[in-house]
Amino acid sequence: MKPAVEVFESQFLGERYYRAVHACGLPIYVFPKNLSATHALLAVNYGSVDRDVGIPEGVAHFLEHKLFSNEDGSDSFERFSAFGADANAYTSHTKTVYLFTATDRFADSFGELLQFVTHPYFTPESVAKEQGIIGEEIRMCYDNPYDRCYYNMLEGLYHRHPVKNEICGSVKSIAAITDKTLYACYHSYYRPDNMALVVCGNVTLEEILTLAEEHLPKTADHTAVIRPSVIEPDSVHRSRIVTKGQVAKPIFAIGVKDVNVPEDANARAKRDAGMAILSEMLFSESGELYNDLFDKELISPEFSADFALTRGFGFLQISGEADDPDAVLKEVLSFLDRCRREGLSREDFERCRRVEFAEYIKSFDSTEEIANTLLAFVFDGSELFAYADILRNMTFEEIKVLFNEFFVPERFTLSVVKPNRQIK
Amino acid sequence: MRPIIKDLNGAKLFYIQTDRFKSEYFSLRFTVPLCTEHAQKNALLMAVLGRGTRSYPTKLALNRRLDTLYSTSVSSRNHRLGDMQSIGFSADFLGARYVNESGGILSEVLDVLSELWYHPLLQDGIFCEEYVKSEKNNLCDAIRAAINNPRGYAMAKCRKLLCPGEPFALSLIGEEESVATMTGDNLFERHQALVKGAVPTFVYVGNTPIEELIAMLQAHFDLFVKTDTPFSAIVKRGEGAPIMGQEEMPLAQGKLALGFRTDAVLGHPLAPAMLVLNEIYGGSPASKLFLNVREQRSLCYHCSSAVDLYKGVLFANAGMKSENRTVTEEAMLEEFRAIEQGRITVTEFEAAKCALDHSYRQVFDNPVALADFYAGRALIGNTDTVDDFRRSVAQVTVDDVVAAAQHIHHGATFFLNGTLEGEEVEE
Repeated sequence: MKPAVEVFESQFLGERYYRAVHACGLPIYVFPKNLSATHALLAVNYGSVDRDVGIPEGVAHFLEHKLFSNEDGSDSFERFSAFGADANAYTSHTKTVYLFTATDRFADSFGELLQFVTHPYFTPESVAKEQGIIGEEIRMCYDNPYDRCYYNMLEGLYHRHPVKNEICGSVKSIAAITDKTLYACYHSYYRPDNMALVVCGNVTLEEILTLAEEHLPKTADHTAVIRPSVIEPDSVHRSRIVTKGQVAKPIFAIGVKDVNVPEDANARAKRDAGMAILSEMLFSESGELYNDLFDKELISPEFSADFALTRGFGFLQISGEADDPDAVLKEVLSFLDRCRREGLSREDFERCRRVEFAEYIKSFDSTEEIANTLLAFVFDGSELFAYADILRNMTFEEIKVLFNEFFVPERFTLSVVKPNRQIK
Repeated sequence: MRPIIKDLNGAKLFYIQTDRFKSEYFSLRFTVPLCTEHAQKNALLMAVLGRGTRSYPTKLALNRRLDTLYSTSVSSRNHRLGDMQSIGFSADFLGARYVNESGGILSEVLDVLSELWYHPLLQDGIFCEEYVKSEKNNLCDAIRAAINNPRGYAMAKCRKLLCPGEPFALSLIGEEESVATMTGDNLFERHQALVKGAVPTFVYVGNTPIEELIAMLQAHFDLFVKTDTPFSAIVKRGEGAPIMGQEEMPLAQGKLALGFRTDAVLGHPLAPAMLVLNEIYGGSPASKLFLNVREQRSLCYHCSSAVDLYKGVLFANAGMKSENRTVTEEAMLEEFRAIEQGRITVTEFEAAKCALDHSYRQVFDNPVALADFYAGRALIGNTDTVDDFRRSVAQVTVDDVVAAAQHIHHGATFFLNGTLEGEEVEE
């Protein structure tokens, strides 16, 4: 029986996409786009934060590496290459994504994607070998001062939420991973109804459904995924963390903890859009704060603010490079205090909403970007095209409420990486 | 998607008409010789120009103007191309379909770029001293920040060892010692010399009819005079034992960079084969470096190579435990010897060609890649289309790759020795 198909359309963008749920429970999203490259991704709603009791840190990421090895000794990377596709995978705090981009032989690569992700094969020997490779990845990340600064910011923000743990784990934690650990986690989370398949490019819905039928199980297993619950206090864990690293000038990340993450997906999408506009108003290069800090030579030109919001946690990260990061934090707090007393500008709001809207339109020029954005909306339970209406309907009054509720000085933390020592 | 190339009073316009994208792309480029005297000045100049113009005197005013142009993003350019330096500005902006202004905002975007290039904010006829001083500080920071990226640091050191004394070895932002010699006066002189002497290249990817675009360009860019500087690159294969270099840093991982030189550059009959060679060696996850050095021997997480055929250089790099440096280097060189000796499997060869074809097809999906492909190749007198180039890659044989391997030489190795103790990392 053919699955029911939902159609989502944006007349303004001149784009549409389709959703169908396969008999096995896997939701399939197809976004036809007339470009040369088709981007496909098979994602699992499982990331580094989903860690059951007794499971070492870094398992979601380890699984992502190991799934590419097949029972017949072959490596899926090689197979994708033989088809001319560019394959990759990544693990974030909340998801694991397997992907490829193809400009030819799409069906072959698509089959490989569905095949290797649904057929785990781990042995003690192959796990031991991967520990060496991932150990080097961990060392590489350790040498990246921006990674250090980011994770220390999370350590400052969170008392116990697992978002503070490194996605790759540590050399020590991954040494405790065995083939049995991998199988157990795979079977807990790699369930079709806890996954999503997204394809964007020169394809049709019918083509994708027919190909999926060849590779997916015929029936569904409805065992629900049970995620460990986390009780995280509203307060920050540490208000300041300073470490040393290989940097020429101190780098910093100011974190602001979101303690009002909505349960409802639509409310989350609205909060996300509101914070995007607010961040643009307060921290962008078109804002007063940035130009003031820059003119006073308190910061280097690169300065950014990003808001992350997903199931269970949210935070704003303001990053840059400064001789005196404490002075920058002080200026940021004093600027926010002034905004609180004097009020935000309606004109800024209108300008920044327009900026967000333009960026949203521009994001529909790349099949890779469309597929990844669509996936983010899917896993967050909201709808991609509805975001345009959220932006259009956002009011200045709502932004003012969000500002007053979000920027509470006690929810700030400062992470700094100071220069280590000079090169010999 | 073959561009229309027009000569406009000596300037070159590459016009690529397409309605594939919601956004459009325009760039103003100047390709000038890369040299000690000017490289750093050019870099600083781009930064100072970006600080403010006659109509938008501050960064705030400039950024707000770009916001009103539907979040148009303007970036400055400072690239190495052979022994040349390519500088300028580019803009990414919404196409006419998505803006309220009928006919789109291309003319307004060109107005901002023209302001940036021709009408910087001046005080008493020279650059604003405050901006020069501030950008000199930022430039010093950027030079010192090379250590923040150890892999890039190792690659830059390897580049210097590989092409000593050549322009290609120069840093695009120069050295810290010379920043102090930059003044508002000599920077202004450099700007005037470029405005009067350098030939602009315009690249447009979008849907505005060419006649309209030309009329807009003539309205906004009318001050150039033609004194074209030919493209140059010192090309040689090199010989003898590789030059070795090493430094220490408190890192958890050592970073190794191997540099190779080739005379089979773009335009050489073996250039397509050289690109295939790089793919086989370390260009993709099906490459020898990835499969044999990383996957089979678990020596590294990152191990890959990249080739630049404007200059004729190939760099391979890897990160590994410092004590594994020798074994990793030997393993990487052994994979190279395998190619020289023709030990290339059918799978490796076909995968490499497929990967290259895939990457060239993707050029059609990216306005910047399209612009770089055509404007870059035109510098060396090559007018092949992307599809022409794909066909030449498709014709490459294994014998061609082995022949190409005879045109490449390992000329330099740089190792950044990580001196952090293991336990510091493993806790």
